[in-house]
Amino acid sequence: MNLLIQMAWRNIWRSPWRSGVVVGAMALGVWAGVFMMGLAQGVNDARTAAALDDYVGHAQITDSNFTANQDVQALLAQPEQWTAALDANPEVESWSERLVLMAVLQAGAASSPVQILAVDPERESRVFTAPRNVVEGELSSEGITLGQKLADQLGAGLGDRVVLSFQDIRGEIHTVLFSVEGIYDGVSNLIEGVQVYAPLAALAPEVLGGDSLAMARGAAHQIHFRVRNLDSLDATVAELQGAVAEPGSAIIRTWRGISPDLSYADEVLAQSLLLFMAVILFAMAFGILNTMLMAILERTRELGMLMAIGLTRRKVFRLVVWETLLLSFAGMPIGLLLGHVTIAVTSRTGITIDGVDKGLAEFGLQSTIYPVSVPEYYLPIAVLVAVLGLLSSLYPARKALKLNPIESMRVL
Amino acid sequence: MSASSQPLLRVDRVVKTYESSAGPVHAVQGVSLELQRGAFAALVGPSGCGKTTLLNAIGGLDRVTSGQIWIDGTEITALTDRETIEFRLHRIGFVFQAYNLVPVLNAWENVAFVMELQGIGVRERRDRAFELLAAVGLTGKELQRPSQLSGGQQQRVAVARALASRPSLVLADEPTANLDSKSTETLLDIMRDLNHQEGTTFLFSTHDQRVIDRAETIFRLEDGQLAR
Repeated sequence: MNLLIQMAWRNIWRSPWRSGVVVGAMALGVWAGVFMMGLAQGVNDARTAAALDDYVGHAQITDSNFTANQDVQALLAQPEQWTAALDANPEVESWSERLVLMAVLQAGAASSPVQILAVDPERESRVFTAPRNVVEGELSSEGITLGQKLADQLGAGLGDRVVLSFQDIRGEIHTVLFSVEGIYDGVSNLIEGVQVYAPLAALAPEVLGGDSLAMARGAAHQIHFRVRNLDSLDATVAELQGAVAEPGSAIIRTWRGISPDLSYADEVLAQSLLLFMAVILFAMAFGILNTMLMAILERTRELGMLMAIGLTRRKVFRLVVWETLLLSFAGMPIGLLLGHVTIAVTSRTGITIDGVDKGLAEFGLQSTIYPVSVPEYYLPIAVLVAVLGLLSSLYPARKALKLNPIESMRVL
Repeated sequence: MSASSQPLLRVDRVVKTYESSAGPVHAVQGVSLELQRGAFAALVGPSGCGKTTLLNAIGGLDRVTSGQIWIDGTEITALTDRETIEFRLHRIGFVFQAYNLVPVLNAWENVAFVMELQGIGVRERRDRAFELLAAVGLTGKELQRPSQLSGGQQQRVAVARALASRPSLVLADEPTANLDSKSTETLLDIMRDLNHQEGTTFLFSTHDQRVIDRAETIFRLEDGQLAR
């Protein structure tokens, strides 16, 4: 190994306590940063997974006109070719057809705008968890199921009669009387306050306004489906697109397209986590800079002698930079390892945050968070440490460069 | 004049004046001297007479106010800073009063350090470092750090380091000032042997009579001027 690097490494340990404190602080900073990254990633992954399971789904087949303006007339053309393709694809775990329409729900004197999801209860339960989380009654094939929040708002309970008013595909206003047969508790209070499940078989004739052909084909605005392995979703989508001969204006949207906020949150999170780490390391850099300045001050005489015997200013600069970099890097692997181990343990045990259940539920989160290992951030962290180590070496190195050999050697 | 008959060192009317709060300090005042190749010489005089200042100027560590210094045909007073460092690295060896070894390097690494700066390969510099340490009587101490060596032993490592680059001239500033009599005698014997064996030219600044007694050539400085 280059003697200059060996010297730099040994110089660090001339003051074991001082360097040890810096190395320990760096390890602690990296540990805290990595653990917080794992925690934030865990929160985000849990939020995404809960949203996908509860109301977003893995992917949906829909008419592009329906996606654009929620036009009730934009039914999926030939839905039977899609359901056949879904049934034939081994990667598809389950699917559910939906009619989706905006309506006004009236319960006694209270009313609220809602989004009706007309579904086959059994199929819907295989794709989404929300229908399975019925806390009172059941997801019925005759009555409607409200979210807990909406039921509370309207003061509606099981067995109460409510009226749904909506337009059919011919533009005619329909008013249908239903009884409340179930109340579900979803992961998102926002969704609970808006979405209402209604039986597809009972609502379809009303929505289709007597269109017998559409009824015969099994009309739907959307077909949601769930895949066995989310990592192979894009490949499955491509296979389905290839399997349908006449897709017309139908499109397949994956969860990233259905709920761009979830996908966007992933990207924003990645950037903000690195920014968070950079802030921690930036603070650390000042400690390193201070340590190196003290080291240069203490070794003024020695540096002067080295310059006298032939160490060029460039090499003096390099020596100080190496020392700073090695000092910066010494604590990093310890911090990474500690962070990795902490995440590995807490990802199994989970971290329960008491007293904030309701607040977390508003964002579709559970109160127990499972941190997620973030090895993909280790390289960027190493690069950050290198960059900040390099930056914090510049001032001490510049100080060392300005040393005069004779004056330095006079220093006691 | 052939190269061998040229003096190794020629100092020509060198003046060094410092500015201080009490006014200018004339540390060296028009000194001229010549030193032949292979000499074993001493620059002597009382404290404050300008010995170290002149030695620093000869070693290119300090700029002169006026005058010229030639070493081995090169006018070092005309070199740029970068050229001076390069010249020192290859042509001048230094031995300091306080040894000035690098505490984190062991004996052979201290000796090899200059060779590393010269770009010499690790095997060659290791062999030469061991050889030089043997020459200064430190066989078996190669892996010891300065803190594990006595003052005399540290100064012998410093001598080995000064010779590592095969310099034309070794400048030694009060090399025996911190040594006891026995260590001083040993060190002088070693330097004299190296002077004879390798033909290296030594110039000491000293007021130690034991060094003066061994020197073949003596330049006496008084108040910054050579005494006649």
